Amino acid sequence: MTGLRTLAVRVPDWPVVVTGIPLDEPVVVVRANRVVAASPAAREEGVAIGHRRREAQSRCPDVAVIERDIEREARRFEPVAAALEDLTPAVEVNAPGLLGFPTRGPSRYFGGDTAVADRVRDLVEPVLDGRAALGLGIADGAFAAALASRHPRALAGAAIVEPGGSPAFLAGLDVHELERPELCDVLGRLGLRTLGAFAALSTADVIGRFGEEGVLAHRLARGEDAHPPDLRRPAPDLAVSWEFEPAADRLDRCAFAAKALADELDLMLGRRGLACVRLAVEAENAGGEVHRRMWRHEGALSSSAVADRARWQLDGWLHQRRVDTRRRPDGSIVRPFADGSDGDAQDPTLDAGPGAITRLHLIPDQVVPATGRQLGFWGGRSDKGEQVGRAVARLQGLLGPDAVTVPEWRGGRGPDERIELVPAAAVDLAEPRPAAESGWVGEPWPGSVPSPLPMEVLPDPEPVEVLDVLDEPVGVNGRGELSAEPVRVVGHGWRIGIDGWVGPWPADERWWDPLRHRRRARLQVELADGTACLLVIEHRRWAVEARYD
Amino acid sequence: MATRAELAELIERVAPVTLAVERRRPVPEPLRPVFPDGGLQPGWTVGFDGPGAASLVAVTAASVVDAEGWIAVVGVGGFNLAAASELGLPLDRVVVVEPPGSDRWGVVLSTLIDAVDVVIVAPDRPVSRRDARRLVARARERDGVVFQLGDARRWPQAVDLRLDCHPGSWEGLGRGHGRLRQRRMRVAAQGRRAAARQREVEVLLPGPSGGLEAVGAEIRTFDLSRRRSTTPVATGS
Repeated sequence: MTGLRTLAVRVPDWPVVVTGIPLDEPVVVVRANRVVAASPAAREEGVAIGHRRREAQSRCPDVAVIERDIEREARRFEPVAAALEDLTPAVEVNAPGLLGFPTRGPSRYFGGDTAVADRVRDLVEPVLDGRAALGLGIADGAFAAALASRHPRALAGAAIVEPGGSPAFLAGLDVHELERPELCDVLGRLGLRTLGAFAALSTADVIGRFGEEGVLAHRLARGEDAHPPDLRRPAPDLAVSWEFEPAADRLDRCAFAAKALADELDLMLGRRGLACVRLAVEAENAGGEVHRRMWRHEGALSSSAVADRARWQLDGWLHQRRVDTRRRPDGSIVRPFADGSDGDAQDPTLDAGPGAITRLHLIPDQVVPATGRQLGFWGGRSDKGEQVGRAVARLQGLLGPDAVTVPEWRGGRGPDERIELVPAAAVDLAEPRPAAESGWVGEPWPGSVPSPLPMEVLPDPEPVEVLDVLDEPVGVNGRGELSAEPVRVVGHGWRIGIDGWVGPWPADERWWDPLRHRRRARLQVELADGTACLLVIEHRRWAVEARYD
Repeated sequence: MATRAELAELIERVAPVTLAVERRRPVPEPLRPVFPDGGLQPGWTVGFDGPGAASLVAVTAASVVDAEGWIAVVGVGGFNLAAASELGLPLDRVVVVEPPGSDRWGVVLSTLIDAVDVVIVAPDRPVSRRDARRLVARARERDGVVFQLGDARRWPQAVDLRLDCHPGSWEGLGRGHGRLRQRRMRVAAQGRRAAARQREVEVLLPGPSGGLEAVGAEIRTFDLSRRRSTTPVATGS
């Protein structure tokens, strides 16, 4: 059984295109210090995807290095998808830069695949405004179509794989096109270097050795759809929706709702043993318009992937509305690059006009039985960490994104400077986190407070006075010496003797930076009631910094 | 007629698969005398109070949690995680939650107890009776453990076990020399049901190794329910 005949629309180098820099200049887009996309000019100089930033710069010294902004990529892709809405309602976005739709209806209407491809070119090219190339591929199955759109022929007219020709077309391609690095690595070592060689294995062997994920990839390699098309629509009660009261015109509010809905959807599908492979994001605005966009993913969409897609989509719509209302009263096609600076404002604040979003639906348009992810086959993901991650996500929904944090080690001298709390949203709790393991900060910090560390660090140090035997204030001179022996501590409403003390330990930090320079000295004291604390003096004032609770 | 050996075998076979005692989580060795049956029963709420309670909570949590388990720290102002790490708390499995508004304690804590093994909580204001009861019930159902740190009056629900730390003495610090090295402290425990009998133990926290250690070689426990005495009685089990 072959896949559904699909037309894939690809804008090559999309991450570079959205930077607004012409493609004939050398540009690389980096993420986590690795090149994820490079302009053709940069590639000619020998820059390749996966290079480190420094490697790219050494090969091409005048390259512009731009940090990846996936939100912007998604937002600017929305007009491309919207341009095709006149042609077919079934546009599915795979990722920013690549979309597809089944051609059966349009082909019949316009008279063949070539005619449809010409029509797509006519609709999309004005949106791209000559700033990017456009690749069109038509084949049986979304996977084959997406690969066809990368063919050199796809850039001029359209790369069309004849009906039934997908397996033959795929057979010659590299197995890494499956974009499953771990699987492809194993296949490569087994000597299966082309998709054809992998497709020639029997399904029984594949499932025995590679499990569910392997079978999925095997189906793709044979030119079938990853998930056999199931014409049954999922029950409508699987959709989840959120009403905005008042209407939302800010992305942060929408994103918050999208996250909550995604979690709800995930929970509901999980309860029924289903996973979503195609998701419809639908938004209604105050003017009564309904926007709907379909997102597809070959593997099942996780809750955070659903939330991301909904957020990107809403960002696109909110932004589009802004351009619309500002300078396109005639409703003609919005060009994403009409103005280079446009739309990069993260937070469009406008009066809640008719375009503000009043309702958001997430509809699982295609679901498959969830076969579960095999844990621990290729890596050390922990189930427990994921469970905690879900609880954390719920709490962030309740309390705000910064209310839940996880500790990471940092260098520092003070009792509380060795740990930094980073928002839990910024890390993957299911992965090992070396920055949270002791030993992450290798080198000792000279002058730091010795172990045992005080258990309680006062959020606001409590001002006190330290007195000598004559009740005169004790100070620390410029050479880091006490002016007299400390005998008692006087706080607000209390007075207590000092049984033991050591110090002062001076800490002259960041003396090279006039704004952040701090000069302090610490004194460890044991009080007459048997407790101990850490006193600190700064600008001649003493305070209790921490307690040995 | 059945022999004694056969009977013993039969008893083994009809016994429940796991006894409650076997499911107990390990507590640090020097603290075993103050826990009934020498371990912490899953689902329990334990209160910690007095000077040194924060250290005691850290060292107990580190012992109770297993290699996969997570710890949540909720609303504990000034809890120094670097110091807790010195006492063995695995920081790569810790989440820190800011104190929620007073109306949200219940939902925050019950969400956490679903996912983590130990919740350390120090409410900055009294928690409502309803929220506390909900959490305790949830913990019991999920076999989680709740450690309530600080003022007992802010926790309306009776705890299963309360550990009170009594002021001890620091050693190692002189007048102008040395540094704090170890602290001797008394921990008194009293609770409900099996833990009704008050027990007391003297420990070093931190001890010479930096962790929790027993005072001397033997662990002294005192049975205070009958009369105040300094005669050591048999330790735990």
